[in-house]
Amino acid sequence: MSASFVAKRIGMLVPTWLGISIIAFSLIHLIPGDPATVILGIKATPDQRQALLHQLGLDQPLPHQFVTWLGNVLHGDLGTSVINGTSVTSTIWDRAAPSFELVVFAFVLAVVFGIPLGIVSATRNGKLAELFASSGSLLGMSIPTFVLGSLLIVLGSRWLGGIDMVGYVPMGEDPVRNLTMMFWPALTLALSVLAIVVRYTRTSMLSTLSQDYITTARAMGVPHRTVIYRNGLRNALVPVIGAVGAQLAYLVGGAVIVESVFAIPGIGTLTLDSIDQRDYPVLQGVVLIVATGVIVVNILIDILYRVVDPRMGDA
Amino acid sequence: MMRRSRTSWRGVATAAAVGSTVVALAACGSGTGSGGTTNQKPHRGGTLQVATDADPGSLDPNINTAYASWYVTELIYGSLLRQDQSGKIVGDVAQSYTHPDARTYTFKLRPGVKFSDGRTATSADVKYSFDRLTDKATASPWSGIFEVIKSIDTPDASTVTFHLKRSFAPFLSYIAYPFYTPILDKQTVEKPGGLKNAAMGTGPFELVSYQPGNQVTLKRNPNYYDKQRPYLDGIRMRVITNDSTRLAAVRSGQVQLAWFHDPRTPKLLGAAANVKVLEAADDRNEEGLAFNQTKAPFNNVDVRRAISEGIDRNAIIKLVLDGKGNIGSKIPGGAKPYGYSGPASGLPYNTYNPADAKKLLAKAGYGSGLTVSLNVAPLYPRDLQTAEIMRDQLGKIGVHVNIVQKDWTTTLGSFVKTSYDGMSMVGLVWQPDPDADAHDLWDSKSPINIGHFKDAQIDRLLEDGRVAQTTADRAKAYMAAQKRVADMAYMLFPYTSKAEDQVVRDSVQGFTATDSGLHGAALLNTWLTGAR
Repeated sequence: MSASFVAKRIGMLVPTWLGISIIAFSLIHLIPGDPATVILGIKATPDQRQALLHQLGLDQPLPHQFVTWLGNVLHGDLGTSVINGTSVTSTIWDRAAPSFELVVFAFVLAVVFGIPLGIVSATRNGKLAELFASSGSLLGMSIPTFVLGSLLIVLGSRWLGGIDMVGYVPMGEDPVRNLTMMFWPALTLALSVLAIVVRYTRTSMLSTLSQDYITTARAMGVPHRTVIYRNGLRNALVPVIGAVGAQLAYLVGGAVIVESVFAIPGIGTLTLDSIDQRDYPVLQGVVLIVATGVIVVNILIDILYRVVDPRMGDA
Repeated sequence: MMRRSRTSWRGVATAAAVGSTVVALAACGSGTGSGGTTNQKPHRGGTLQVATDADPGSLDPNINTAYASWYVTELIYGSLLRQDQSGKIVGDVAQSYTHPDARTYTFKLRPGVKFSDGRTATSADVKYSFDRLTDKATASPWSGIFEVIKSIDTPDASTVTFHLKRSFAPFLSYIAYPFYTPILDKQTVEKPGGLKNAAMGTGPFELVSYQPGNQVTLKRNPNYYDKQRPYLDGIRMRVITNDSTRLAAVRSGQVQLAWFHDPRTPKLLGAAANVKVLEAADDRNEEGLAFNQTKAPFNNVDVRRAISEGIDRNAIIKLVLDGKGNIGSKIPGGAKPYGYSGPASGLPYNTYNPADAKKLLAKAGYGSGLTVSLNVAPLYPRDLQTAEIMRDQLGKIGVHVNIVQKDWTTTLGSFVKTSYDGMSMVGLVWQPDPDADAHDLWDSKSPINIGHFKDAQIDRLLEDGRVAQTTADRAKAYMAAQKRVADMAYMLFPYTSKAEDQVVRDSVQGFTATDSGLHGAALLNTWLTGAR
């Protein structure tokens, strides 16, 4: 893997950003309605609405608004929320922490449990453990997250009275409560992805283990564990990394729903609120930051691919 | 903004009689209601854990019309007058007032009333607050109401005189809510960011922090003029938008108070231990159906009347509200004595009569039927259910209804501007005075006349409601206006309903449901048995 490969991928960021910004900006302004109506409600006169729009700079022509916004972004200023006047950068920063924790927690749960389960179901093909793992993963894939989340909350409030399951306590304030509260939404989010990790690992392991070189290794008397973990797993992991990476984007999307159900003040609920309230600057900022995150993760996965399998060139 | 209801005016209107006598305002109307029956005496201490249903967004009371924001600002700010737990208007920053003639009100401020930072509130603060409210640059939706103020004099630090341009009966009602007319501190307003996330007032609580999307933390205002109340040391208001999550949080004891707009949600608690459901006494909300009357077919009164007679309101109330609703108009029955609540026969064309509806349609030239759209936001499931039932009912008289679902902001925006096609329906909420309920929505000169209709008779009645000086005369005017709206079917009201139900844990004492769906007055008297 050459440095030019990394540079090229990073260089692609700029046009991607610009494209995403233009699309996001246009889409956001295509939604009818305006923040003045949201804020002022039913009793405001058209004049009052206009006065507020003027105050917020939203009475300018759209291209003008876009160029102004882009200019500010290039200077590192994402603007201020039209609803509560706070800086978009600090709002996103505040709301990113719970989302980041949720996604990472869920991702760790999915990988830590998913890969071993996938290996078990591949190596115990046809046995009870395999049946358990594959039917379990099918169930996990089939239950929508909002159903599972609501189910956990309702059952928890009934049978586990006193356990704080909803809301958010920052890690810095109370690490134990933070983790015990975050466990439930992370589990909810992890389960659907976990199922996919299990199935990918299983399929990939099965096809790897049926390769000739594995048979050769076994014939040469290489111990079973070594065959599975050194010869099999490493090769089987290549497609799994790709699949898991793709799931990260899904996790970010799924977090929107999980955050709503569990009342977590993250990027997901921020996105929903800013769409509802037509808080254009916040929404544009969120789209830009989340898109950047997904692009960066994809670059990292591309790099990881090449670490695991050096045969993949710099293409 | 929308959604939710209100409380009663008996106290005000009688107190508003013109005369030179000083009207002393009761200050500490002590806890009239008791949420739980207990022999214990109220005592101080504890933080009340509350689950609110939406993020406040912004805390600027001059601009933000969302209930979610009012839930917070009503606890932080004071106003000249306020409403107590029983719905009576009492003194707040003002201790007494005189009303020497129809156009003059002079208020004496309460001695020693202070902001939470310890500074004494003066007449200059009152004048500053009204100036900001009416300043065009503030863009307050309430500024129109207060255009009636000609000038404000402050002869001394504790006296404020309002000179009105004309007689204006609703005046005292309009200045009795901290989210309409908060007494502001100029320094706080002028800090960077202004009042959007900062707040400092003379109310019972002060703001500790507002974490958007997560929670609002309040603590008792140490400088509050009532030395005994509030009993609570603080309030933590968590934002939990999902109904079933909020219900689970109160059931498991994570929160001690939560509110619900759908009366069916708290029913899910069944016989759960240690919680109870509080219900408001009377309706202050209503479902409002508007017609775009700038074009066919709804510029024809017969078509509108046919729709009115083609809706079986009792069936809707039974299905959508579990029977917990009433037939009424824009001023619901809870707004005594101005509102209508009673049988359908009390309002013209409100009785279900599909046969007559068909005749009216035939007369209008739509004997073979017509197709119309009904705009509604699925955010509030009740609106959508009502629309679906109406579609079935109207289908029977030959009106084919297309339900157009758009998000809340879009639906609300087009409802206000009458920029939709056909019909549009949103939930309407508590207002501080019948004038607020009806005037801007129905007056022909109002820029937000709903449906764009013009009716000289209604204009006159609404004006009567503003100038009449006795409650009885005002009530007569508003009742007549509502009958006229029903007769001409300018706007329909499928039902009136209660603002919300509250679920409280048994540890919460002194809290009662108010018709308005606001909690400030009740939280002043709330205390906790055994702090959590």
